[in-house]
Amino acid sequence: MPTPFPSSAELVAVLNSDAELLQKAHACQQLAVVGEPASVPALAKLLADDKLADYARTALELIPAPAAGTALREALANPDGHRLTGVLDSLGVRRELASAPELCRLAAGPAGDVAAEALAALGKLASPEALECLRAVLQSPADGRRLAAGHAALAAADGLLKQGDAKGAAAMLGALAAAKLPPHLTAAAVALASRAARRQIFDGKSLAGWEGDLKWYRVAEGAVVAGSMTQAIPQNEFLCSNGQYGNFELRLKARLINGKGNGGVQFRSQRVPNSREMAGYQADMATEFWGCLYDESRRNKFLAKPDPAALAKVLRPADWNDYVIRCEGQRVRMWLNGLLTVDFTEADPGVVPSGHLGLQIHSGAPSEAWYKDIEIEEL
Amino acid sequence: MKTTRREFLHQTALAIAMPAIIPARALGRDGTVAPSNRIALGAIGIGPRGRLVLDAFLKQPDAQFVTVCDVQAANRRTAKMMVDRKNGNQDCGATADMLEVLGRDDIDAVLIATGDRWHAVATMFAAKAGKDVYSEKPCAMTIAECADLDDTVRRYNRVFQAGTQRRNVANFRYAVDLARSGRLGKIHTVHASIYHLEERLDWLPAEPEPDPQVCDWDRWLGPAPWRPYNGEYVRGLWRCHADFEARGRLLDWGAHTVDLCQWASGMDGSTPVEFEHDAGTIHARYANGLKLVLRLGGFSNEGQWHDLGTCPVRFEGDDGWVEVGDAAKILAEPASLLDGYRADGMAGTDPTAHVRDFLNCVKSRDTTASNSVATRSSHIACHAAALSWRLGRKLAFDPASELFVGDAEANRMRRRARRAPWHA
Repeated sequence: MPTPFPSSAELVAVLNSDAELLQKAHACQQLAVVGEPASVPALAKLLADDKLADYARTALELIPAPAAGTALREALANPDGHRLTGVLDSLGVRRELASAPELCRLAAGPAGDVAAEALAALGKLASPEALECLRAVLQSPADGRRLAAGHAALAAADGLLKQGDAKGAAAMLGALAAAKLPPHLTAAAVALASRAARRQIFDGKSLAGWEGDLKWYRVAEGAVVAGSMTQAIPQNEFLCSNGQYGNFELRLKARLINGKGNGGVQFRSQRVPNSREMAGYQADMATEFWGCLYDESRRNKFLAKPDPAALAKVLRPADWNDYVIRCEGQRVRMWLNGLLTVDFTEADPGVVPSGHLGLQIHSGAPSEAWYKDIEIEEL
Repeated sequence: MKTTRREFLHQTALAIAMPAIIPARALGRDGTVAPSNRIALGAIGIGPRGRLVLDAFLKQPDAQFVTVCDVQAANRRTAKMMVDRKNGNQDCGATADMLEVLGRDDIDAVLIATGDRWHAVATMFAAKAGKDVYSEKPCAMTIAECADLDDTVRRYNRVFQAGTQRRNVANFRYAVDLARSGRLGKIHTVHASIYHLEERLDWLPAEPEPDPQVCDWDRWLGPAPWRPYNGEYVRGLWRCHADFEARGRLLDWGAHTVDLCQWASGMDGSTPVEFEHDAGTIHARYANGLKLVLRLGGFSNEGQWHDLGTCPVRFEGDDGWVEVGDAAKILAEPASLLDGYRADGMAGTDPTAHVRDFLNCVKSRDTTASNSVATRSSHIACHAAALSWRLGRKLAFDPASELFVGDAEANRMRRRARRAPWHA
């Protein structure tokens, strides 16, 4: 049974003693887990040690104290190229934003491992200062340097996208596209750009990309209009997307005219053969059902519902509401006007985690459901 | 995911202008492979397991190796001999430097069969060089490395196959299908066999470093922490050493068995939220209540399995259970569940079908069975489980953020620094 960790003070004492290399290496590995700000000086001294520098870095990367980052930055003054690349990597891992100017200076130095590693670290920082530096190097005539900047810029753009900064990512990707880079790197940037751009899947003018009964579906004022204010609706109707989606985030605006009637957004769904129904998950729309996850024409029950009081605070019963639906593997989440209404994990392995989208108008008295600004991001 | 990769190339809405000419090869469209329809490969890290997988590749008519790479001269020689024999010439390259392999324009994909310590970094080097990757498991040494690996593979749109070949072995697939199809009813417990959990922290006695041409110790270590050379490490006895084998030895079988359990129960892309170690067994629970039990299953039928071979897994539902192992065997209750089963005798250790799946996907750009997304989550589940053993306490984990909840020490064990200059 593994033994518990010694105290950080004990471990620092080992580093400051005549202990064998193995003991000191091991102490560094343990300080990675239990090290504190007071442990930093002893570790910083080891950054110049041929055998222990990487062990010291593993601790300094993980000790959550500004002093650890400072110690790594100060080690940049050490001209030994080999160890310098290690310190640069650790600064990137820690995201020491304040090191950007020094990283930029090293990136502009003689081409080689140090410059490449500095560029990689800048890519991990992805601060405005770091990105500015990368943009400049992307124009460099030196192939090696430009290539390293390309990889770093791609990583930076990927990181920005994951944080939700699509604009920042797009700007970086634009700089990448303009740079002379190997085809596979350019192709990766192009692919990332397409992910950055959320796709509008309703063009606001026509029903292109969707199929359904045109008796009950039309376009008006930039929205899909489902139903009728003059005729009763004899059965449930669905406008079904041509595309099928697995893991995605879908965003749209939806409203029920006068707050009446019943609609819904189908996802990971299929048309039911020989019927007008769709089977699968539905983000429901109706008084008391907004924000609920219903299993339409399948298990025929609500799978998850939000707290009614919380929902009442955000719902706009007769106006436009913002619906967000996010599917990742077995997990389905829904937000209505920013409120998380559903966080559901599918337990039935028979449920297929992909399928069409659908826009519903429920059978009943005359009513209309409107849908617009429908965009999807595939994950 | 398939649609995404193809569709993006045809989007007109891109704000970014495409360069005038991008070779089809670079974009990975149909027609990527050479006119003769062959896939050009390099082999990296070819010891005993590497030779077995290389052999499976060499049996495929459309796979052609052009070079092999190993830090040990003896392994290089043997691997080159295998390739030359298949190719009927002496043209196969041999090098100790994987970056030399990855820098070649004439290679589409690589087989990576180094030891655990190198898998993730080598894969990421390869992805950045525009190569598709078949990487032996376990694919990463820490939770953070699992995430980095998946992020990088996807960022570069590479086809990736983890060496969890049981996803393409008939008896395992049948068992998984029973679970996923609902014929076992609602799945309540899945069992994944693992070894005895152990790790060594000592160093073997230092020996003089050999001539790098014979064995390049620095390259053998790669991103792993430095220690003095000892010949035993490079003869396969790196196992059990915490610096070289993925934590606690859990992932040696766990990479396979936990992966199969997650696939069977629809948990690809997720992980349990709770891990608790108790006398060699780790009890894990998913957010929906599903139980994952990691328990001992050895080479001598330890641990109350049904003696169906190594790496057994068991899936239990309200209406029945199924158990499978490497000896091409399967057991289920009720027995009628096996009525549709057609045995083909393939052993769980046989990568033949898995290699074929990889090669097909290199051509089609489809998603492999053991893709980086599924591999990320099942490997993270394994690492989190191993940490509950290592720390000797119950751990709570959040699959969405991939962070432990309320345990700073566990979170600091999610990553380790890479030895210079082997950074990805």
